[in-house]
Amino acid sequence: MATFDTRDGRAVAGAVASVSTQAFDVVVIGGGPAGMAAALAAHKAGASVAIVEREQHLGGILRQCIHPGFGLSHFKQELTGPEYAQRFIDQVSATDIALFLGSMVLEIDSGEGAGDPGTDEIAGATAVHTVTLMRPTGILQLTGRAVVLAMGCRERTRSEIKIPGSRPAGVFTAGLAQRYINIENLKPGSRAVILGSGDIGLIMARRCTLEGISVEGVYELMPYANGLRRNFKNCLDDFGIPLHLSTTVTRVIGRDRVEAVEVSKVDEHLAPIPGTERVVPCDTLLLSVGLIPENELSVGAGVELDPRTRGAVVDQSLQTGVPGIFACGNVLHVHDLADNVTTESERAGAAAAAYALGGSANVEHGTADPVCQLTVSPAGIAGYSLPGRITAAALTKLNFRVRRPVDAARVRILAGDEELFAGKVRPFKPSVMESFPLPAKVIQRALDLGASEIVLSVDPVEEA
Amino acid sequence: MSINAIETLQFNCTTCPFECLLTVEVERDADGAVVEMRSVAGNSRPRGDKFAHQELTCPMRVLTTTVAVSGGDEALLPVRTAEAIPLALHAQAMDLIRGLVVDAPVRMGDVVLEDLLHTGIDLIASMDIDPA
Amino acid sequence: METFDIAIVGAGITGCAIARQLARFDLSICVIEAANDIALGASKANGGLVHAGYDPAPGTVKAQVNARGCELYGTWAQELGFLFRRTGSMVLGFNDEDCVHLEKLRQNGLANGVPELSIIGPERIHELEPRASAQASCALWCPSTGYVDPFEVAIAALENAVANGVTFMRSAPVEAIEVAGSDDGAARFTLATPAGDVRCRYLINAAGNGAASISHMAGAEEFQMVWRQGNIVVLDKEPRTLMPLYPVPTPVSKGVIITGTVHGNTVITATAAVREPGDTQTYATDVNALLSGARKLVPDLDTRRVVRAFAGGRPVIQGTNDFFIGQSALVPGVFQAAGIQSPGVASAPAIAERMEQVLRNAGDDLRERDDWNPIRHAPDDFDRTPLERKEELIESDPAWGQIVCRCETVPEAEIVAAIRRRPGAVSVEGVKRRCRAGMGRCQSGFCQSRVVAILARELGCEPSEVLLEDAGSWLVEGPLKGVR
Repeated sequence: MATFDTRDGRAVAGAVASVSTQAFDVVVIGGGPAGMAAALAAHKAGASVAIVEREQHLGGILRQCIHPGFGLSHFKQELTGPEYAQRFIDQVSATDIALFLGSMVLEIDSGEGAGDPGTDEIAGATAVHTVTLMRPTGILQLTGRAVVLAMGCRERTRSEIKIPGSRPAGVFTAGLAQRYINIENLKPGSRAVILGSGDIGLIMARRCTLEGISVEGVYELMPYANGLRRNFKNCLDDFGIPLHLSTTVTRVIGRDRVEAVEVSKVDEHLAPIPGTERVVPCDTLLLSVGLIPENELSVGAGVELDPRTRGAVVDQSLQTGVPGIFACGNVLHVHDLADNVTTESERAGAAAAAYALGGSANVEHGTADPVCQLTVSPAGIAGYSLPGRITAAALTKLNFRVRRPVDAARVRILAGDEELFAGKVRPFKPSVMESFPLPAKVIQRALDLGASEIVLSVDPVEEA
Repeated sequence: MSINAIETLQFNCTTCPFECLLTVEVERDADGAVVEMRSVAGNSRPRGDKFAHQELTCPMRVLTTTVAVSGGDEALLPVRTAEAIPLALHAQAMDLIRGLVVDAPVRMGDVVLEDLLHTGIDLIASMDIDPA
Repeated sequence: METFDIAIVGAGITGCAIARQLARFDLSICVIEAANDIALGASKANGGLVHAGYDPAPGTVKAQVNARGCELYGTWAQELGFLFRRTGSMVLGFNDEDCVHLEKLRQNGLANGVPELSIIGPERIHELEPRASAQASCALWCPSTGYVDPFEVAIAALENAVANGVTFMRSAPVEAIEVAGSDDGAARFTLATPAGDVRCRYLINAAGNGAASISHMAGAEEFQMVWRQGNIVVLDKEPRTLMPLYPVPTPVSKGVIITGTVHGNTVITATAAVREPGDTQTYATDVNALLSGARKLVPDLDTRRVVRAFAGGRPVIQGTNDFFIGQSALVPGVFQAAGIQSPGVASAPAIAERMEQVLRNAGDDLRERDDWNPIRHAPDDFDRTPLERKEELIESDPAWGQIVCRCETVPEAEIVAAIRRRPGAVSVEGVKRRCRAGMGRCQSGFCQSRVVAILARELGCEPSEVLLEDAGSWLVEGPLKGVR
């Protein structure tokens, strides 16, 4: 009598004879800053490249990030998001990179054995990945010797942070409000409260104010502000918008449309303190409460995720556990600056091209060494470390974020009981994605010690 | 006889990603106007000094917003001032920009409005917009 | 003023099921709904479980309609084209005392006519649901339990009823009921609503939490509704959908249940607390109780993956835990389907069947129509459709290839269909309930503005007139630019 349902009825694409197929060396999924940089780097390395993008235009979320603050490191010039995107769009347009716009990827099929770590990584034997996509003209399959995942991230929602109360219209993620205001030419309300002091929340405080939406205040659960300092100064201070730390929204009020929100102070465990409730009248609540890599496609392709980043576990060449599938940008881990997305994605694109053309992803990162199989784990106040695996004793860029701000801490690299490296004492902030070069000799030392794991520990230092 | 007040201010420099915290000592007259910037500390580069002075006399910001598009494949064109303009003029500039409509196509860098509010700075397109 | 043989007040799952059941007869029927869409009351705040019927006290109306309703779901799902999974369920026991209780529950179930109940041990428990708590030492295995999407059931039933000639009036709260003359077969009830008055011969009260007020207006039985509020949490999709797992029930509630859904999500349902009528707020205490309750049943649950938390009131009649189904003893011609709290979803097809019987008993010789069509074809669900069919759809209309909701893979054409069906969606949430656009993990962060644009186009209104749900729930004001 019982039937056990595992998503039954949901169509699984697989290879279908009637669907037309086009072959590429590298298929990049996502046409935002990550996808464009990866595609350009792969193209430069001599690969034939396709970009698959859901929207009708390249540029991704940068199209709605109309504020300045982009390009300071990559272009040595302060650009707006659309300008930053347009520079890459122009570069892509000048190449023969194939564009599949308005195209939604339904599935990535890596064939049998592609997910098997024992699979031979020599070019002739590499599995070909099949990307099934749909668009208004039909279904299409692209094959790629390598695939670069560059789908970006989504915003954490009201439900994920469990804000109690009613469920009226007028609760928007900051990105949705940004889309209404900057793309759709629609005003999402007149009187807004913003929860979350990350950069998106701050930027939206200024955008709302300039567009005639009064911002009652920005509320932040943590005892410290989360965004870049420039944004506090230019987005809040310039307009006299108050920032309330250690305060959160504890209830949404209003049956049909938001009428007010209740805010409360929180204690050191981030729990609301009874008796501190205050009702703030407003018709709009904007949430800027974090970003989450969008990895449903990756999981479908057999890619293993790191529960800390919610992005793929990758090696030093940004290759995931599925040979030939690479990941970069916000789908891998949430970045602080688009410029850093670009730099990372260029590495992923070059590595994907090297894999597709030559069978090894490690052109710039040393040849994969069968004896080098190190996992990298975070410790201390490091929230994550990336890459999660190192397979070559070559200079490797380590990225991490701290979980809380500290005035004085140092990075230490450990293997077993031995400290292989200690950085200088300096302040760290959770809003900054740190980048740390791990020298080849440190990796070699760990291997010499017979270690299977190295630990990246960020340890607060007591001031003498 | 001097009734000028000496004040110490702290704010971040935003000219580069370092975002140095500047400590600035200013002398203000009875009306609160800056008479002299006496000292700037905390900056790691010389331009922090210039920034502090500008910030105290006439803060300048790039204004970014949108302009309605007619006949384009998007409803709005993102725009910016080519250079920073006085922050004090932003609200007035927004009032002016609100009613503007530009015709597609538009290319990044195209001038949307010349000499915005007699600042000598143009309002320019941030992105290409193709015809619908 | 329009005159009908029957007016059904309330387009929740109960009213819709009754409308569908009675549409086969030669009767003119009108379903009158206070809100602007189907299933916006108690039916909306529901976990979707089709409980098997082992817990109502034997002899109660509930006991009779629950097991029968569960049985009927297979046929209803087939005819109405809604998703129904009969997965079976387990009530998990953690100690000897629980085990004794489970045996009592089994006996209860047998008395209620629930088939194939058995008590099983740890090995079988983990065979049936590997994620069930390893601490569970015994369980009541009930193969007939299943689950549905409660919106889909109500919508499908009413679509089928409307296709068979039933009239649906929305945004029509009944404000007064005039009862004229004696029950001589004439249309003696006049229902006043802002959308127009309706006259009818029979009045079926399926008004959920509004049932006491309708009964009062008609001069029928006086009773009070208790708002037994429940919070419910939906978690993101899992690679393998969970079997419904129940704790040993308490006297007032089935406790915190965890279940898979027809769409592969996980639902945790529901708390029970008497609150102010109309209170649909979620509470931190309730949500935490749900998550911790669920973890007792499934310890490896990732409770970060909350997609949605919501709440509603079970329409409980004060002083009884039972359903009130039958003709009014005070005003002949008024038929009550009141107090339909849990297990209202599971019972709906049987309540409809029973209502037909009640009408017959009242002396109406219901004549079957020869043109009645029991079949309702479900709209194409792109995500579930095989690749070949996807291609066909896109070829038929490129809007099938234009994805709007990426989390649930809903193309524009599916949204347009949801708006154009009868009765169609008139709000963003109405679209969501029909085709799942905005139902997924991003909670419409990516697609809401597109759904608003499609609704505005299809309904011929401005985006500023598009509603999230019911009147007053505007989403955006007018344009910001290009205006003076």
